[in-house]
Amino acid sequence: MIETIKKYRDSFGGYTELRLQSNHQVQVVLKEGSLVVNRTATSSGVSARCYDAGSFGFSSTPEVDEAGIVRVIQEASANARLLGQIAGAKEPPLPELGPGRGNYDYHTVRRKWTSSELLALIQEVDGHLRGKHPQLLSVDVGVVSLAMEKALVTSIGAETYSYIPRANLYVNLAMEHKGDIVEVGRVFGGFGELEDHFQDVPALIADLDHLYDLLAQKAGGVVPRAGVADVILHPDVAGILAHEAIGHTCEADLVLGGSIAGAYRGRQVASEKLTLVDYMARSPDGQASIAIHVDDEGTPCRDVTIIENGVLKGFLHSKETARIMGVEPTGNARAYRFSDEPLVRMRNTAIVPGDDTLEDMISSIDHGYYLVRPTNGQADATSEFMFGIGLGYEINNGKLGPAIRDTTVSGVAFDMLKTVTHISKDTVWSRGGMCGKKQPIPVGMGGPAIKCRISVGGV
Amino acid sequence: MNALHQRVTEAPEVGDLAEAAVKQVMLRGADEAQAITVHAQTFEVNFERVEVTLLRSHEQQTTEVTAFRGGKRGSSSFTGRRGLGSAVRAAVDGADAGLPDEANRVVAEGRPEATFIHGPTDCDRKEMVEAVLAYVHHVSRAHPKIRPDSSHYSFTLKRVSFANSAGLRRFAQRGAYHFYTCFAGRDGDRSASLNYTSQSAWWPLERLIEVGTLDRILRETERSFEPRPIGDKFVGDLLIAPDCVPSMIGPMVQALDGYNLRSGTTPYADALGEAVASDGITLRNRPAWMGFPNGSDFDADGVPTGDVDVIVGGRLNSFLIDRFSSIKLGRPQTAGSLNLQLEGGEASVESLIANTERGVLLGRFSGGKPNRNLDFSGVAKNAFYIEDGRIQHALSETMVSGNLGSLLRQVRGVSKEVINFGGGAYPWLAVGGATLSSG
Repeated sequence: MIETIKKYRDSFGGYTELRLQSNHQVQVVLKEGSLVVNRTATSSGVSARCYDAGSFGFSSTPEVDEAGIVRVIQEASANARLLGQIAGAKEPPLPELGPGRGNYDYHTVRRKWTSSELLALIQEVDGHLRGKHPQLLSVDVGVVSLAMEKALVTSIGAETYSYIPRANLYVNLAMEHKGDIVEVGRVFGGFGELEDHFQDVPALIADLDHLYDLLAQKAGGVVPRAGVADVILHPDVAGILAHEAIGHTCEADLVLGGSIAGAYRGRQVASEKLTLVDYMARSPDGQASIAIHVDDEGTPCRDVTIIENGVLKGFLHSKETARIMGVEPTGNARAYRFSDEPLVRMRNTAIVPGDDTLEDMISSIDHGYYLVRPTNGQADATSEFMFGIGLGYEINNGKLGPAIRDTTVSGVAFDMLKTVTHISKDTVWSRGGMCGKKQPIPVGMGGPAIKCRISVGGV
Repeated sequence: MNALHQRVTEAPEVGDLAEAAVKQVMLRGADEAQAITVHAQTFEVNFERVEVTLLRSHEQQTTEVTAFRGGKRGSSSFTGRRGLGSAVRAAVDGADAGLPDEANRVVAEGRPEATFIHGPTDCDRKEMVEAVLAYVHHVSRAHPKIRPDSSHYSFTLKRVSFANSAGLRRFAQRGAYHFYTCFAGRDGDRSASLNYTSQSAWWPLERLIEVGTLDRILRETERSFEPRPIGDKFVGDLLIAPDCVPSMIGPMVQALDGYNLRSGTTPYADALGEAVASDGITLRNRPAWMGFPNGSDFDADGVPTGDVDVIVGGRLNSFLIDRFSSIKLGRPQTAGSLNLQLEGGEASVESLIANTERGVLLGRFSGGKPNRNLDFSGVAKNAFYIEDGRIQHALSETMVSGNLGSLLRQVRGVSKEVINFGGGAYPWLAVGGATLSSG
């Protein structure tokens, strides 16, 4: 891919990024035993973005040929000039951290599955669940894989290729219990391709039986008591907290757009035990669900410590936000499709592990909740957040109690994080995770379990 | 044409490509085939803070090819003009690997050919940039505490072509403008919550400040720097703003779809003809209505869209059944695209506020996914406390919970003001029976 666009670098008239990109997707969905989606998709094209004295211009086309590439370079440049003429901006050049280079190819080394082999896997999962658990009201099984393949050259010398795959299998189960419909879902897989994750079908089947057991527990579960409670957030919930409630408020474009984090820099915003980082690549443990080495502006990525020992330290930057705030870019500018411009996005965002054990954390709570699986999450510029909880347990007298029904938890992150008293030793990364912000983008989130106080919805 | 105008290419290949795809799938031994090509050219003016930051012009063309063989189905899509051969192979391979189903067949009914042309074919780029500059200058002068973020004003010319092996041909062209803005408030060390709104229109939006609900929600944000919790838990009213209505009725609408009917996971399975909402509620699905630039003339299977009265005077009149589910259920197809119009009532917004004894003006709702029984809980956003018929103060950390089905049976007022966002149209709703609490 890189060879296709390299030769056009000499035609750049000023600051220019030229990106060739293909997103490769597979999507197969079995609902109620009917194959409702069975498709592959390739979205390919080329884009250019130019910068001229404070004005950006962008252009893209799906036609990856000489005419198409020349046209997007010219049109992006013309758009930047047009904006400069009308808006009259006069800004300095963009800051640079040296050109990002490298080849980051994560293609699977395994033989690729045929469509028949993939469908056989899904049918086996569906058939097992329906056969062994006839009490189930509905079974939905789906596979989604996305590999983002990008080549980038820039006028300042960045030259990089990446192929970043992620593959997931989703299972949602529902059953009826005393007139109510109760559901649980789980995402399997993660970084890599389908063939990297689902070779061990017996292990997957065992996990599915466990998922059914969780559904049965939830069906007989209790509705939590509304109010502020001591809770333990499982890493899946702590991860969404790190992403939604902290990460977004510390994206520099949102800081410039009014986020409360702008006022808190250098202040204590969390317990001294808490450090939170947005990691480049696949994080230090090599287990995060995405990998970003060079961003889509050609900046080599670096880890960004957002909170260190409870103090708000840093923000996530593109070249533009770095220019405005007078700092170095951090390699957080990412685009989803070939036709998208880079935006400030998170990579792998997580709380750094502590030294507590989950057992000690549970035994430290007289009455509270262990919140295990989020359904969704949203946060605000004020750091007020909300997460849906699809699976959790009561904690009574230091022991896990009955499962709880669906609930919602909420709070103000920069207040709530000051209540963190325990952080577990282990890190768990999410298997999937898409973030929405003008464009969708795959993100990684995770970390340890944390103990804190949070507002729980209920009766 | 002025050089500042959106470049418009003749695109007969959009239709040719869909037809070529169908032919190639059939040549590879499929029993039936269909293809849909979507070609879109967009010019977009992006702004953040009070600056225009980026001019973006982009072209997209995606063709989705579907093969049917032995009652099985497989699909593959590609972008641009190249890639047809590999997409055809992938679609046929997918069909061979698929599962047979009675619903896997192309549409053979209806007019063989239909063409729909709506809206302009080009835009004036300079005028669009100037409209955004005028807006950001207005915000900086009249609303200095407002910080726009990730906002844009765009024009898109979209052409959609459909063909299938039964001889159906469809072509639709829509040229429309779209405005989206997101913003927060900032005053010294204080921030006010994010809010956003959008509008689509056939013609240029000359004064962006007049878009939909924008002026009102900008002013509400300026009054939200000192929010307070609601205090004691109580059961009260919600005054749901038009921007928020889709998130409150969306789960109910989803419960009326074909999948939930098939799986038995809807509380409305036996509710056809029954009262499912207060008698002031009339909800229609109108994808083909010319009031919705974001509508569609036919669905992904080439079936023409049309008006469906979903709820009339509070009674459930129709489910929203897509083509696949309609064959599985043996019921008529009633949906393929979703563009909802909730009919306005008689009340003014002021009277709805004045008649609220105790409750919350809900600008946005940030909630967990409601369960299949439509029980919900979440946080009131961009919200204000109402007591004794007056707005008292902005709210923070306020939970709202209840059952969406029950709320719709307790509608006590619908505003005559209806906001048409261009893909949906909603009034204000005053409902009772919500549980409201803080902490």
